[in-house]
Amino acid sequence: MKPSDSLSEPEFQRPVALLRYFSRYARSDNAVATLLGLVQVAMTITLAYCVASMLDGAVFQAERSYPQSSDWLLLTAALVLRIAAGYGQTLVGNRASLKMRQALRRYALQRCFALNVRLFPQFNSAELSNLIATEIDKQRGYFADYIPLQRLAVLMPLAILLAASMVNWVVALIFAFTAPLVVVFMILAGWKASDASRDNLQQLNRLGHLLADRLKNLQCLQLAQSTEQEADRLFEQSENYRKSTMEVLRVAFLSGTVLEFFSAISVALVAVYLGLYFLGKYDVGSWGTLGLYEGVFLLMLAPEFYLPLRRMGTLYHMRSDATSMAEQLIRLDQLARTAARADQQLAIPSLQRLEVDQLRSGSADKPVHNPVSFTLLPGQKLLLKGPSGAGKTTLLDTLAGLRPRYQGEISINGLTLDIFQQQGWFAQIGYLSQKPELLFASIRDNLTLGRQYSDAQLQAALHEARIDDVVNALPGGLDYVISDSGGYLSGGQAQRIALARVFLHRPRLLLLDEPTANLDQDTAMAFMERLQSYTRSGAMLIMASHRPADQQFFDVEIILSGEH
Amino acid sequence: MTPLQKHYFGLLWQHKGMALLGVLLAVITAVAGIALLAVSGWFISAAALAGLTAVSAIEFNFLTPGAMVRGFSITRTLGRYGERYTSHEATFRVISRLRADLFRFLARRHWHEVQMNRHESASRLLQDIQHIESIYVSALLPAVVVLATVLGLVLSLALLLPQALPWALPLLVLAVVVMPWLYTRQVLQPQNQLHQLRVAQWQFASSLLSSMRTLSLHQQLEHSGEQLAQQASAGDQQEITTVNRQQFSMLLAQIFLALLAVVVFWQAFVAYQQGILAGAEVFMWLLLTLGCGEVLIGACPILASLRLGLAALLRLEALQPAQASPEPRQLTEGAGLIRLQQLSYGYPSQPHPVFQQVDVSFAAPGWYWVCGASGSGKSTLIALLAGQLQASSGTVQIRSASARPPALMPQRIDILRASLRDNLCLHHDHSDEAIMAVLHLVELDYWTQSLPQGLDTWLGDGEWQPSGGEAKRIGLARLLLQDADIMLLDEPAAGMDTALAERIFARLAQRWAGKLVIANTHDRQLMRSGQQLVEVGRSAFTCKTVR
Repeated sequence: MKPSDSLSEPEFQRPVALLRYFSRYARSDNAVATLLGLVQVAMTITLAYCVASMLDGAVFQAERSYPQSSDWLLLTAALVLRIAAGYGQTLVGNRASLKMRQALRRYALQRCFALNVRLFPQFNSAELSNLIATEIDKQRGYFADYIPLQRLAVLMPLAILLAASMVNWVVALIFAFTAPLVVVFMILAGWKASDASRDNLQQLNRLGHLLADRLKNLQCLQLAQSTEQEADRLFEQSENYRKSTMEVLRVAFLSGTVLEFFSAISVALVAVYLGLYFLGKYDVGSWGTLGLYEGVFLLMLAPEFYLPLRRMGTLYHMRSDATSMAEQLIRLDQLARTAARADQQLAIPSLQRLEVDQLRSGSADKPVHNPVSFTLLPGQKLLLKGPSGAGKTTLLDTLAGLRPRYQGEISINGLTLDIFQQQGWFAQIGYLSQKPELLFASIRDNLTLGRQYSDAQLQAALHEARIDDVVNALPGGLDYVISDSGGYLSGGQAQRIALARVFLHRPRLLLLDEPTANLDQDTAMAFMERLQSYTRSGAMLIMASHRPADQQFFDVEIILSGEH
Repeated sequence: MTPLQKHYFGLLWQHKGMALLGVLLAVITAVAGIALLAVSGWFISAAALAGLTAVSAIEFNFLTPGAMVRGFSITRTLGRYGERYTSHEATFRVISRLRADLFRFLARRHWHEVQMNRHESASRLLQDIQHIESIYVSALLPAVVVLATVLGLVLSLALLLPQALPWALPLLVLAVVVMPWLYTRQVLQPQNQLHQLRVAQWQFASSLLSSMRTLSLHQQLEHSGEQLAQQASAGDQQEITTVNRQQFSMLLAQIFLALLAVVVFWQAFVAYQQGILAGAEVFMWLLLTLGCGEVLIGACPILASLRLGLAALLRLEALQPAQASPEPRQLTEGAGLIRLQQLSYGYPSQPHPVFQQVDVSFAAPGWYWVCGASGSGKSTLIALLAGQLQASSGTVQIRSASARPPALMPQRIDILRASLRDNLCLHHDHSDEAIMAVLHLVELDYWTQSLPQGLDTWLGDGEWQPSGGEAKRIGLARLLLQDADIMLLDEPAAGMDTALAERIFARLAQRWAGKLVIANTHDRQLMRSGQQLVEVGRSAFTCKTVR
C-alpha cells in the first residue's frame, strides 16, 4: 500500500527531536538569519563607538573636536542598517516557516491517510482538524522567530560582553554574573508556566465542551425557560477560565518583569559605577583610565545586553505551543506504525454471493463482537441489531475492508479472500453513516468523487433520491458549495444527497450505519422506501439500526452483542 | 456603532477603575523607562566632566541622581508588571461577561426556521471573542501611552531645545500618524482574507476527516489531501504576505524614529556649540529620544488593532439575529383553550403552503391525537402552537391559567452533558420524591437505580448515553415536572417499544385528565376511547372521537 510505505521519517521519541528534524528543512535560512543577527549586534557596537567618540571629542577632551559629516553618516548608517537587518531576519524566517509547515502538514496527512478509519476512536476528527488546520498553521512564530533567536540569544550577548570587556572588567562582570541568574530564573518560570498552562488548557476545554453542548441542546433549556440560569453557569465557567488564564499570564509577566529588572538595574548599576568612578570615589575595574568615551560606550551597551533574552522571554510561549503540537504528531505516528497494511492488491470478482463465516472484528487482545455468520444474495437485506457499543460500526468497517478481521472468513462468490484494504473490493462498496459524509465542496464533486458522469446522470440520481428539486433550487444548482455556514441543507436533505451518490455509483454491496437515526419519522420512512427501490435492482444491503419501525423491511436479522 | 459594540464599551465602562489603573501604570512605566536612560546619560556625562578637577569632583552631588536612577529602574520594573496584570485582568473580565451575555442573546431566539451553526457559534464564543481584547490592551491603552510620550517629548523640546522642533515634528508626524495609517491599510484587507482562508481550511479539513470512509472507498483520500495541503499553503503564503507588509511599515517607522534621534542629537550638538546647552546634556538628549523611540514604535499597530477588535465584535454580532423574534401567539388568561383562525403557513423554501386559512380549536379538558400522511404538516402544526414558527397569516390564540405558555416535548430530546437530576430539573427546583414519582410513571425508576450514581449519574456526550427510547421517556419526565396546563407532544412514542408506550400513555391519560394535550403520532394503538383524533389537511382539519 502506498501511503504506509511513505512513512520515511525516523521514529521520534521526544517532541524536541521531531522539531529539530523538521527545522533542517530551512537550515540555510537559519544560517542567514543568524548572520543578520550578528550584523545587528555589530551595528549596535558601532553605534556605541560612534556616539562615544563624538561626545568625547566635543565635550570631554581639552582639545575640542566637533563631529564631522562623516561621523553623522556613520551614525545614521549604523542605526538604519541595524533596523534593516532585523527586517531581513523576519523575511528569511517567514520563508523558512513556509517550508517547515508544509513538511509537517504532509507528515500528519500521510499518517491520517495510512490509518483512515482506524484513526478513530483514538483520535476524534475535531482534534485532528485542529492539528492540521490550526496548530500547524500557528507555528509561523516558532519557526520564523524563535528558532533563529535561540542561537542569537547566546551569540548576541556574548558579542556585547566581549566588547564591554575590552574597556572595563567590572561592567563585563556585572553582565556575566546577571546573565546566568536570568537563565536560571527563566527555567524555573518555564516549569511553573507549563503547569499553569496545562491547567489553563483543561479549563478551556471544559468551557469549550460546555458551550458546544449547551448550544447543541439549547432547545431543552429554552423549553424549560431556564436559559438565563444556564447563562449564569456559563459565566461561572468563563470566570474559571479567566482566572486560570491570568495564572498563566502572571508567570509570563513575572519572567518578563525579571528580565526587565535585570535590564533596568544593569543600566542603573553601570551608570552609578561610572559616575562614582569619575568622581574619584574608587579606582577599580578598568584597564586604563576611564574617560567619557568609555563611559558612554558602556552605558549604550548595557540595555542591549539583555535585549535578545527579553525578546526570547516574550516568544517563549511559542516553544510550548510547538512542543504540544509535536507531542500530538508523535502520538499519530506511533499509531500509524502499529497499523497493519495489505501485502498486495488482489483481483476481486464482481460480487454475486457473500458468505461470512464466524467473523469477528478487532484483534486478539481486543476482539470487538461475537462471531457472526450469514449468506447474502443479490437483492437481499440484512438488519444488524444490538445495543450501543456492541460493535455494529466496527463490523460494517470490517466488511468494507477498512479494518482487519480478527477471526473467521469472508468469501465472495465462493472464493475465500482477504478483503482488507483491497481497492477492487472498495470499488464495489457503498457506505452511508449516521451523519452523511459530505465534503465541503460542490454538490457535483460530492456526487462524482473523482469519476466521470454527465449532468443527465447526476440529475437522474438526484431524482431517484427525491432531492433534485431541492438541489436545483439552491444557488448554483449542482455547483452549490456545501458548507457549514450555508444552512440551506437540513439533515434529511444531506442524507438524501449521500443517497443520490449510491444511485449514481451503484455499489454491489451497500453498508448502512444507522442512516435514519437523526431523521424525523416522516423523513426516515421516505428514506427507507428509496432504499427498497435500490435493492430491487439486485444490490445487497446490510444495515445497522435501532429504530424498531425499520424492522419489517429486512430479509435476515443478526443480533450483535458486545460480550465475547 | 452597532448594539454589540455599545454593549462592549458599556461593559468596559463598568470596569473603568481597573482599566484606568492599567492606563495610568502604563504611562508611569513608559515615563520611568525614558527618564532612567536620560538621567543615566546626564549623570555619567556630568560626573565625567566634574571629575576633571578635584574641587568640582568633591562638590558634585551624586546622591540625588544616583537615587533617581535606582528609583526609576524599580518604578519601571514594578510598573510594567502592574500594568500588564491590571490591563489583562480588566479586559478578560469584560470578555468573560460578554461571552455569557452573548449566550443569553442567542438563547432568547428561536432557531426553528433559521438553523444555528453550532460549531461556528461555539468556536466564536470560545476563541474568536478573545480577539476583542485588542481593543483595550493593544489599542486604547497604548494610544494613551503614545500620546503622553509624544506630548512629553514635544514639550521638553519646546522648553529646552526649541531649535530641534522644526526638524523633529515632521518625523514625529511620519512615525506616529502616517505610518499607523499605512500599516492599517496594508494589514486589514489581507488579514480579513487570511481569516476567511483559515476558516475555509479548517472546515475542509474537518469535512475530509469526517468523510474518511467514503473517501477511502472511492480512493479519493490522496486527492483531497493534496487539495487541503494546497489550500493550507495558500493560507500560509497569505499570512506571510501580511506579516511582511506589517514589518515593512514597522521598518519605515523605525527608520523615522532613528532619524528623529539623530536629528535631536545633532541639534543638541549645535546648541552646545552655541553655548545654549551644557556639555553634559548632549548625551542625555540622545538617550531620551532613543528611549521615546522604543515607546513610539508601538504606535504603528494601534489603529489596526482597534479595527481588528471591532471587526471581531461585528463577527460576533453576525451570530445573532438583528432583532429578537416577537411572540407569534396571543396568550390570554383563562381555562385551557387553543384556537387557530384563518391560519396559513408555508416554508420559505417550498412552493406550496402547508396550511391555508385553517380554522380549528382545541379545548381543555381533552386529549387530541394529530394524525395524517407523511409530510401533511403534523410537526409543523405543533411548531406553530409552540410558537417556534410564525404563521404567514391568521392567528394562534392560546388561553391558559395565568397565561402560561404551553409546554412542549420536541421530537428530538436534547440530553445535556450533566447529571440525570439536572437533565430533568433544568434549573428548576424539584424534590427527589417528585422526580422519582415521574420516573416511576415513565418506567425509568429501575433504570435510574441501575445507573452507577443514580440520579447523580452524568448523561450526555462522552458520558452515559441513553438509548432513543430512554431519551423519549426523559423528555416525558421533563414535561411531567414542568406541569403546564397545555401539553404539546411531537412524536412522543417514536423509538419506544409499543407495549411500553401503551402502558405509559394509559397512565398519562389519567394523570393529565384535566389538561389540554395535543400530540402527533403514527401509532394508532396509543389512542384511547374518548380521546379526539384530528386528521390534518391543507385547508381543513377533521376531528372525531376515538371509540
